[in-house]
Amino acid sequence: MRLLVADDAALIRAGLVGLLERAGHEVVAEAADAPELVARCQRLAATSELPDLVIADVRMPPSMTDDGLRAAVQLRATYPRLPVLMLSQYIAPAYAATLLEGGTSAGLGYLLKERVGRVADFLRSAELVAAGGVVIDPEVVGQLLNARRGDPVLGRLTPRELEVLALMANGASNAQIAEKLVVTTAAVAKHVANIFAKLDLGPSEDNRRVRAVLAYLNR
Amino acid sequence: MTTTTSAGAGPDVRPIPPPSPNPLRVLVSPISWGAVLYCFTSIVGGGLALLAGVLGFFVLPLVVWVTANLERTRIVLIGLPRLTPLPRSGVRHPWDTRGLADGNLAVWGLTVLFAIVDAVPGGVLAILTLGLGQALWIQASRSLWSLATAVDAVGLVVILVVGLYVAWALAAAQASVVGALLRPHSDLKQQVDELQTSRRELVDVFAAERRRIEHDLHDGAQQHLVLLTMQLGEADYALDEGRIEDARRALDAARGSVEAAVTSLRETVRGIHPQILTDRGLVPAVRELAERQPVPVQVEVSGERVPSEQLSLAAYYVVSEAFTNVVKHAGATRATVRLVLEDPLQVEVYDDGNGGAVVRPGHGLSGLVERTHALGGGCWLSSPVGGPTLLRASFPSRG
Repeated sequence: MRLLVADDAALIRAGLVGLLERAGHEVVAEAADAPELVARCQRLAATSELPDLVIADVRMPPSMTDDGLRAAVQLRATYPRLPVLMLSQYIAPAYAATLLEGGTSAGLGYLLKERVGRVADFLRSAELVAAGGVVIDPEVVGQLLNARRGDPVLGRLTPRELEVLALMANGASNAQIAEKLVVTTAAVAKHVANIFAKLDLGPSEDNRRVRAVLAYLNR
Repeated sequence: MTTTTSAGAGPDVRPIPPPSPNPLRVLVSPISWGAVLYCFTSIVGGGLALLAGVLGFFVLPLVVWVTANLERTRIVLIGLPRLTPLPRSGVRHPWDTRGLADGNLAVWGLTVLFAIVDAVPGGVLAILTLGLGQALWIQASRSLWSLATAVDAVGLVVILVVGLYVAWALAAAQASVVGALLRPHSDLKQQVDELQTSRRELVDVFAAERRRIEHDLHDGAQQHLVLLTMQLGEADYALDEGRIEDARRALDAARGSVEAAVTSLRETVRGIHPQILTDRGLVPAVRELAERQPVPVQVEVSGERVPSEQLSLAAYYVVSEAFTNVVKHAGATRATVRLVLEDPLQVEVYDDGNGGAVVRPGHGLSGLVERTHALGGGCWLSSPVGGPTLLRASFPSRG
């Protein structure tokens, strides 16, 4: 994959670039702040060579708040087909909501920075987002579920179904969920069908179901 | 550029001085003529105050409040400092009884009383002065010089001098009673204002401090720990693929990240509260701080008094903040710290750098000013462009 990496901390950026390159990806541009991120993207777009994936930090200069996130939203508005994976040291559903509001016509991800440490998982997430998937950090899903404790509809789900729901929101496929929960794929499919029935969501393919679940939780 | 700030001292409490025994001096003293003006305005103002009070009985609080504020200002006629007026918000509407509080009602009564008291000698002396003056004028204009003229002239001077002494005495009496009635409230008001300001500043200091700690943690320890997880992940990944050398390299880097994170945490903790300050006190803490600076720092200590922990911490931060400034901006080759362990505790930091330091809101030095104010102390900065820079702070031990 051809990647663009944006992070203001030079150490982290170098670590990230090294890791991605050793995994066989090509980092075509780096940025240390939000305006630079936008500028790099525009330059790549001018030669119609947009990266396959943008990996960016939420908190970046100039204002050191959520400049990175706002730059990503801006980029998505200009290039709707550009997949973006946001990394953050601090996670909040509000940020995820901002990202999702921009639409999910292309891949979208939002992960805690330390998830990079699970290299294989992280690389899989990156590939999933680049391929148009949606990956939201389990922490966000946990917070959303927590905020909706006492919701009568969610209360109808069994603890197992809640687990499956969280993993689905995280972008996991039925096979991955089955592997994680040590059950058969058929059992997972049954749980998923139950969840969709209880939440009144139409069953659908992987990506749309993540969006549906998140949209439901964000409602 | 020189900036000076200091905590407000109490208002200038000066009684009107007694008149000179030499009549000629009284005749030319600005205070005696000011006293005449003061007594005259007392009569007019007191009469108006009484009239307003009677006619506008239902808005008496407003009348009283206005009278008291005029009295606060009027004492400048005899060279006394104006008393801090209470804010208008003290009276919400014309019949708000708060207008009668703070000694205002007593001052209104006093103003009316003094108008009557001043009117008697004032009237007599005015009539005598005008009468003799007119007689002299007539004699002078007709060139009728006689013994009577001389008597009249001497009489006029004598009455004028007596009048000035009387005006002086009456003005002094009224001003001192007005001062006694209103000053405690003015002082109180001023202290409340100062306290409110310093409390607000203290809250700002706390907020700024928390932001600084959050920044320190985010840019320091947290970054190294995130990097650490990446390196461990990479080692894991390399082992999975059987690349032993790569895994070892990643683990080495991970150890480096742990060490960096620990160092960074230590710096942050020291920024929150230096351990050595608690263990050994101010002087060893400042010496240790001085030794860690990239430029040579001389530490001079005088006095024996052991400052309280609160003051030690404040003084330590003055030095620490001054050093930050010296290292960051000043281009200095050496610095000197002077600690005077007395009451008040004084701290001075001198450097031979480029100067031009200014107190800007939200920056380190303004935090310093706010912090010293909150402790009732004062902070002075002298930093002309081109240098040198001298930062001085002083903390009283009270409170």
